[in-house]
Amino acid sequence: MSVWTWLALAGAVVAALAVVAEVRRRAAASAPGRRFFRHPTAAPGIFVLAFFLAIALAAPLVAPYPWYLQIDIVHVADRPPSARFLLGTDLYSRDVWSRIVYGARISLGIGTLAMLLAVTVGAAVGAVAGYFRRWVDTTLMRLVDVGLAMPRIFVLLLVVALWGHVSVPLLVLLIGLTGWFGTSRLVRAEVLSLREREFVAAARALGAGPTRVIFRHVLPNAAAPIIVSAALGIGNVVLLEAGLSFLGFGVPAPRPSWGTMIAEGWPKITAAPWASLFPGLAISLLVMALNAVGDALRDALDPRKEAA
Amino acid sequence: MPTTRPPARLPAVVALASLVFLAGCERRGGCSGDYCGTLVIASAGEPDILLPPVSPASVTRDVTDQLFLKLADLGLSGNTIGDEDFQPRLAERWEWDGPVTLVFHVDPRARWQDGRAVTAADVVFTYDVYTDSLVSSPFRSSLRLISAVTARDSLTAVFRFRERYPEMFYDAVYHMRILPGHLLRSLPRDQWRSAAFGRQPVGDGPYRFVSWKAGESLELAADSTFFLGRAPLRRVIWRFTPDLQVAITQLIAGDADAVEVLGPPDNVKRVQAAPQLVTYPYKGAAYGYLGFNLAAPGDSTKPHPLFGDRELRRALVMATDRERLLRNVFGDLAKVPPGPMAQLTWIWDPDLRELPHDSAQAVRLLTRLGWADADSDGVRDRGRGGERLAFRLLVPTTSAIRRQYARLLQEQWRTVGVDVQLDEVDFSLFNERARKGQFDALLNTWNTDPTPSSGIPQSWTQAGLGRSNYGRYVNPAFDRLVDRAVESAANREEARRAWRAAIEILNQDAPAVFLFAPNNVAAVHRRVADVVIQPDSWLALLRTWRIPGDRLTDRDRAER
Amino acid sequence: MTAWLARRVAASVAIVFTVVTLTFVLVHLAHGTPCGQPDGQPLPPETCRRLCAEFGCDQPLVVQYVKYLAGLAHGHMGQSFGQHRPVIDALGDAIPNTLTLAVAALLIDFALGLALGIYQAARARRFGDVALGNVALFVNSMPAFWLGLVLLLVFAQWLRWFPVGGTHDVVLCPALDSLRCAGDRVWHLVLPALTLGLIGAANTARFQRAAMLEVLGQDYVRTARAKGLSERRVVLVHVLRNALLPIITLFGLAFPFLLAGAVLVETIFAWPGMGRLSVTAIGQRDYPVVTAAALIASAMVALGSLLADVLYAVADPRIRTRGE
Repeated sequence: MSVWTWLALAGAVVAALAVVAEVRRRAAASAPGRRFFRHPTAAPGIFVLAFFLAIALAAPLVAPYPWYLQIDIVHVADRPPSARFLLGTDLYSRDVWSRIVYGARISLGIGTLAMLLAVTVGAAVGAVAGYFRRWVDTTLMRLVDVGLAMPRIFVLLLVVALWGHVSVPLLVLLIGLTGWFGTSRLVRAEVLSLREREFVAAARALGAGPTRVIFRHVLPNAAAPIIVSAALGIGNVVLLEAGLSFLGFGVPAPRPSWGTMIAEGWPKITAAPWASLFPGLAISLLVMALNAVGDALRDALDPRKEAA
Repeated sequence: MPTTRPPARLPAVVALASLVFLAGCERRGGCSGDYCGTLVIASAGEPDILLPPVSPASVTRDVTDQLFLKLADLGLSGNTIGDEDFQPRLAERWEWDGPVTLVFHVDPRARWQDGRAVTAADVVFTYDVYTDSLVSSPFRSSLRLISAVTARDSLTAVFRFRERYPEMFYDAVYHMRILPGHLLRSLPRDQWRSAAFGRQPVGDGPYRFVSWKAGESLELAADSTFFLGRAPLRRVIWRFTPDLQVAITQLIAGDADAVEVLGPPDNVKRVQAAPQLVTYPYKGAAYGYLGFNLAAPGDSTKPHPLFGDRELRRALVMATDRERLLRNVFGDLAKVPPGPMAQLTWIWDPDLRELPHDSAQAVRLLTRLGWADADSDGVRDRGRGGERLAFRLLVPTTSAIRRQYARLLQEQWRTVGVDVQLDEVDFSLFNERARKGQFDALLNTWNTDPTPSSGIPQSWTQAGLGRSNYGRYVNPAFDRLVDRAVESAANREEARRAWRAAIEILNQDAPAVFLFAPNNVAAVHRRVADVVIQPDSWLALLRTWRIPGDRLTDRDRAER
Repeated sequence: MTAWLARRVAASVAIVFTVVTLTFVLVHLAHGTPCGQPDGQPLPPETCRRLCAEFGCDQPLVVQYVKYLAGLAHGHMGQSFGQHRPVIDALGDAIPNTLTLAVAALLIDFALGLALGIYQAARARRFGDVALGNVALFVNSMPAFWLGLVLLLVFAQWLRWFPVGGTHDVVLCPALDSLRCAGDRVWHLVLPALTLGLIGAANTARFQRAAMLEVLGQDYVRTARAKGLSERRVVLVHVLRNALLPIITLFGLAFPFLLAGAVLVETIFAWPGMGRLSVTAIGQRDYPVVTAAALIASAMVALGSLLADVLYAVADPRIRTRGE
């Protein structure tokens, strides 16, 4: 690790702290914001997220080596953590820390994109079902029931195996399209209650069509459960992608998905346990931060607490 | 009343703890003496079907070698020429009745495990099955120089050959395990691959089949009436593990007693640190390589768009630093093979001429062929269509070694502008795709016979097309030299010269990158005595291993 | 009540059917007939003919589907290509193992989770609550397969307290009497069940704590306190009964989680259950097993949620009278 990479790492930490401070300052202005930070794990959660985001964005600066580089396969394989290799090297003499940094891109990227897709589809389906009710609602909710009945990892394994090999965009699509069912139920429940409210009747009286009513009036007020579901959803996607990559059905080698790193380090677990332990720790920390933020958001945006 | 929860849990905990404790308790009684031993073998591979003619897998062979007998078997010297170094098994003696006629006398004491006597008719039936095109045995081409097998009487089988050549006896005895005609004659030939007999075989060997739980274990028990002597190890059990790592962990923990190949140096160190285990190094009978598909995937009439070009293949071989790859994976427990051969093969010669490792020349060659990186994406391309120097490498998920090599090669070739994507598939799928030619390149391992005469024609000549010659490499000059080495060589020296010339031609054609020929190291528990490992088939002499009566453990004493 | 139950059961059956149909279509679109496939294990011609006669090969997809359903009714699910025996036999070996693991994991999950949740609610916002809460959060965020690897490494490889995998000692168990063999099986069950159970427990604890805190703020609890009942009685008798309701929904969610976690955990611990069977079958392109596994998996999920709904209805009288 050279001076510059240490500086970049320090820079990422500072940036994350700055983000936390800034978010705290802005949140102090509103009641939900204050409720958010009353959670003891909310601020650390934001810090961890911001840190992972920072190192993912600045990966070429923070990572001392390229993620694919096998530095010296004869002499530098399976080295323990040291000053030169912060988290050690794996059996191909690749720097574990560098791969974790680049792996953050994969986890955050796939997590965010797949979750966006899932939440969009789920919100749309849930809103339509809740708004139109009757046979539209019944049909869509039966579809959702079927979707929830099918074990997600099984479906993904099946499709990936049948397809042969999947590219990362296709993987994002598949994960997104299998994950919207829960969100749609949540949104439907919200929409069902919201549609009876006055502002909806007013909008319709003014001649607004269903689309406009749904997207301009109903969904924004249903934002709370959508946001919480999104925050927690990224965590699930990260775990799912790691599991798929671990089994060999996810992000293809040599890309440094954290799940693939765990799988690749497993045969050498006694000789070089750091190669599998650190990626797993990274996943746990990221998901933990996402869960903490999600929990805090849920409490912050809970309408029943508005009075407090 | 409200405080019932914690105390109520206590009896349950105590009960659970006592169950666990009891499970670990030592047990006296049970079997005693010298015929009690139980050997547990941890294996990452599982047999597919226990029918010798249809399965070439080495773990299947390990099991079927205990159930079925050959007419005679190779001695420890490994000399495959003539018949002096062979040991009688099913045949008690033999003689030559003319230059191309070999007469075997079946041992009259031999019995099938259902009581019937083994006869020469079984030998004839076996030959018929092995050479039947409907059964499509992988060993069929090894028997092509035998013209007929007939039974002169109930205990005399006569082999007639097409011509005279040095390894006639080897071909007659080594490939075929004699099968019970009375039990298998009625089985339609095209149903052999899924026959029920293959999951519940009846043989004439030192062990009887007991049980097979798919994915878990397979058990054999010694036949006390075996005519060549009762095997001292009463039970032999294979435990199937998901991979080699788990097998070795079980070995060290004492859940298993033997492992065939320890693999990389880390594993050998771990095992050597365990005081209850003994390591047995023996010459490896396997070699691994990356094979190019010279034909288009799925259409064998057309050449492969990339690998049909001999110069491209040569460039890739020269770009590969095989020594460094070997050092990373094996340390010093393997050697780079000078051609398609294992360390056990007698033609092994490190001075054979091969393509050198020369990255600079490889790069020059690639550029000369028109492969340049026009769009600067790190991958070479050529032509107006922007054809990329990219392909997919087929690897089985069951081999940690090949997966490691795959990633090393991927990176090594990336530095010369080649893009390799990995296709890591299940072992059975790997075999299917290999057989059907549905790949660009694959990482394969062959367990070779002690003589190159069966392995090399099967894998690298025209006779191997549709069988083991997955890459569809055909060079008539090579085929001629191989034929000369196998059939018409009058003595060893002439054969060696012919083999040398043949291999050097093959090396120049570069149909594959020959990557590793491991030294095998097996591990067996210290209490097992008289361990003799036959290098070409490590359990061939299992029936002579024993556990003396004063070294028995719980497992040995456990009655079934 | 019975009408509602009948409707729910019918809905579950319909859902399972839909899942099986979708799997059937998906698999057949990808590979074709029950025997001759592009890249799986080929079957010998005779077996192929027999299977084709039974399940139909050249007939339209609808006919094949009907024949498959008819076969299901008789318990015929086809022949496994990878194991060379009927699918139903392979399933029969695998399902009990998965159920054992699932039940053990659920026991650990709810026993530990409830206890933790109650303790945390009782000590709300004090050190015990905060510390345990963070630990629970961390454990809940771990990938199940990573936790399994860590437990395997520490307790099986380094400390040698537990075995490395499998359901039982294949050598000793058949020879031991059933009590000792059961003990051996329990010993093998500990690590995989802990892996799944700990993560579930962390989740359950969080829900239980939240539910109990919510109930603790309610009026009837203040009434109970005002009546002079001891804190312990208040918590365990009044609060717990009402806070258990959300847990029942967790029970319904546990089935899909166990199936998903089970796929990875079974692979790591070499546990021969449905998860490992599915992964192996998918890798081998063993399509009859894959279709059957989809059927079983979705049936388990449907059963789980049905059970949860029934329990919820039994526990909460408001649901019963309202109907659906």
